[in-house]
Amino acid sequence: MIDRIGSALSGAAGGTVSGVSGVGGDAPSFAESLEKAVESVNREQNEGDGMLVGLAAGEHTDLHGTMIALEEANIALRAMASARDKVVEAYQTIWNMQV
Amino acid sequence: MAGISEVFSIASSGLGAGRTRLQSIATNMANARTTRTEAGGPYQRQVPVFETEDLAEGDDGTRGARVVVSEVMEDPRPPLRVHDPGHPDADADGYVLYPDINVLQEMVDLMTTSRSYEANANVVEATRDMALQALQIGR
Repeated sequence: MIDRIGSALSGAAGGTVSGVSGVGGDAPSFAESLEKAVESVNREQNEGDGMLVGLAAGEHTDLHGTMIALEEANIALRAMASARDKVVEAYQTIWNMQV
Repeated sequence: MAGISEVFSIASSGLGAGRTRLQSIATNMANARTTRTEAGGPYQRQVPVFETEDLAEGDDGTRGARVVVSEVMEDPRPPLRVHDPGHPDADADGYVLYPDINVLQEMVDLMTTSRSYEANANVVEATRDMALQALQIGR
């Protein structure tokens, strides 16, 4: 993980936003990973929202299916937030390091 | 490892099965004294039959299974022959064919269905709680 933060940082330090990707070799950069995670979480949220709207509009009657989809979206969101917290924590540890 | 979405999917199928059972029970209760049907004759008690639907094998070689409604069959028991000469559907001897539905049995089925729905909902809740517990590690 530190590797990936490092690559993200060196990319940012280079002043090129596109340079963020692939600096650390084959491993996806932090920015890429985050983007993927956000996309996936967003997909789940949209799915839950869609089902809720469908339920309210009377298009289907899958009450528990809707609640479970919303719950899955909630867990995905929290998982992403946890991962983000860990990454920021690691970044701050390094940022505050005395050299 | 069995993913949480698989467990959610299994529990969701259990909740769906509960709803199907509920519908059959409601139909049986409502039609306990129904003497006319489209097919002719008295109403036949509905019995939902369930079967498993295997999920794909997980990383650890385990395999879960959802429950799906196989079909809703008719209770094969013959209708009750009740002497009720005043009924418009009585035969020449004054007997009416009523469905062989025991409302007490339907009530017991309703209670077990309600409890099994509750159990499946608890599985969903426990799965969610376990996932959130895992996210709390290291906090």
